[in-house]
Amino acid sequence: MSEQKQQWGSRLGVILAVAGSAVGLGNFLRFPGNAAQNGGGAFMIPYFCALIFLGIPIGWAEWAMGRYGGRKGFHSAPAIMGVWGRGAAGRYLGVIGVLIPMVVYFYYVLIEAWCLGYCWYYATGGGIGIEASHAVSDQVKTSSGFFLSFTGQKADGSNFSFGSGEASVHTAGIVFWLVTFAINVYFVYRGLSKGIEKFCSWAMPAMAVMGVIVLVRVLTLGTPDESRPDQNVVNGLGFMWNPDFSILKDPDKFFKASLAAAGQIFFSLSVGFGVIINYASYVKRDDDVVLSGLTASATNEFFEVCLGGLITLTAAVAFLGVQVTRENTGGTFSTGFTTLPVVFAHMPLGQFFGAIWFFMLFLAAITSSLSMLQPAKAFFEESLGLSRAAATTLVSVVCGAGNLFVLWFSKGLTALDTIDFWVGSFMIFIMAAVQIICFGWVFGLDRGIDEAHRGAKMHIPVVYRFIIKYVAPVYLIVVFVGFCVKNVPGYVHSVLGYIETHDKEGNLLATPITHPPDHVAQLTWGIILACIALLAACTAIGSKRWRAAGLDLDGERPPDDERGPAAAVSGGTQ
Amino acid sequence: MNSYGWAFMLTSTISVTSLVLWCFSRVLAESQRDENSD
Repeated sequence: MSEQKQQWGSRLGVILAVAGSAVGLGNFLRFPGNAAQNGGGAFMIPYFCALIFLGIPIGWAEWAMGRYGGRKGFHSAPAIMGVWGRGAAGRYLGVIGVLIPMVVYFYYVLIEAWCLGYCWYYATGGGIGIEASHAVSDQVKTSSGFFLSFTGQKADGSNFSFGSGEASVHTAGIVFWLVTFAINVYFVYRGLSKGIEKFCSWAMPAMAVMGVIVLVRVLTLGTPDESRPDQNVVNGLGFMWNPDFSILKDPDKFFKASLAAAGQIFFSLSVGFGVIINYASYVKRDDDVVLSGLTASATNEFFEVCLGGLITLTAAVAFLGVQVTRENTGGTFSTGFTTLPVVFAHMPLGQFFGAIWFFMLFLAAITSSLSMLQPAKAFFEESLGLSRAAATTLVSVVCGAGNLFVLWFSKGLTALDTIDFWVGSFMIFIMAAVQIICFGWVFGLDRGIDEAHRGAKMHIPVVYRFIIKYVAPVYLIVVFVGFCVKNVPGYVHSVLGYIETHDKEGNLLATPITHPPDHVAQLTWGIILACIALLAACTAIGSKRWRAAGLDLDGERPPDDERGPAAAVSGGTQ
Repeated sequence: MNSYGWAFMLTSTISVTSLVLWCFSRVLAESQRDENSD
């Protein structure tokens, strides 16, 4: 704990870094598909409700918690949650705030490498081999085949089959991963202001400019093929935005849309991810975290609603029609890596716009992945007393090993999907619930709000006291239960295996069907548990060190800067 | 696209754009004020 204390260089810098963490592929690819499948324009009603009642209040709580922890000399989620949760329980639950970004990085950087790879193929003129003269169904097949091959989904270990022909795609994939990984490590090693802040300060405006360029191109497409007048920009916008009011009348549909909206807001804003709490711990003690939190959320919404909501499906419908778009835009990957390449094959200057688009996605991904390494790096520095170089090396080794694991077990993306569900979705709910309960109930709402208002010229509206204390936790629990009922059984079955005794109509089967467990899913769970054990052990070591250093790890006294300069100790280290 | 679609699209995009512009104008103004007071 002897290195120089780190801080953000400017207030705008930390806002762009947090917004960069939040803006990712989901903004451009997941949001439009989600909206189109859940009521179009009417989806925006539950969507904005989730933003106002869930995303923004939890975000404010996380900003305030992080800044308060920083004032006490802590920068990692376990230490900060120990302060807010007033003891070891909060501290060990805070491990989730390091686990999520670190383990999600295991696969996220690979998706980032795919974006870089696609950008490279478009920028160098080759594209991915789609012939616009072929039938659209064949083009989709070509696009899908390339994606399956490029990501090694055909067989485990295929990413490591080097050579010529199809194997050369795998070789390229490994090269793109190595380049992406090196860029991440470099910027994280450079530190907060010289690395992450500097990168996000140009990457975020660059993304906005590139997004607007692509948006203008898409909105001026008109009717690309005169022989198909129904395939035009206005119908493309209509596909995304025409409201289906039946979701407001049918309780089942409304609940399904509300779940999708809350999930979209929740994962899009990066609340409960463990990043904001770490980033906010480095802000100055009198920075306006209320305005900063709102600005970061608003920036994320701009990328999601104004760019993601206007570009992706509009272009797909204009070139491919409603039917093909509906069939191929179910998920993030199918939209981004299968459908859009076909769109670019039809678009005038498609190579150029394809390169811009995938470079923008790459930037969106890298600003997010940098934020995933930083919390783990800060935690290892703080808990084990490592230097910046040693902590960066340790994080790189752990995350590099995780990357290799996901790269190897690539068949059907089972390892990626298992991590994404249990860590990248399930545990985020847990972390957000822990945070909002600690903020509103354990630490005390009044103290929490007072802390958020410290130095703030913009105050949290009074109604948010009620929302933070009651509405957000209840909203979160309802969404979490709905999420679990819908998804957990399938994922538990894949780990444990199961015996099917009834058919789809509910009739008893004469001979039950035994589904064996998926060994890759089991292995992935083993990796996740090993990471939890590692982080818990580091937390135990850190607790001893922090106590020995006289730090207030159970949040029993006010921060030193409130007790006068004489009480100030060394503060945060990096 | 029907008139409801236009309404939802324009309301959503204009409100989000206005919010982000308002937020950044306040952040920049406050940062400027802080710099001047330093």
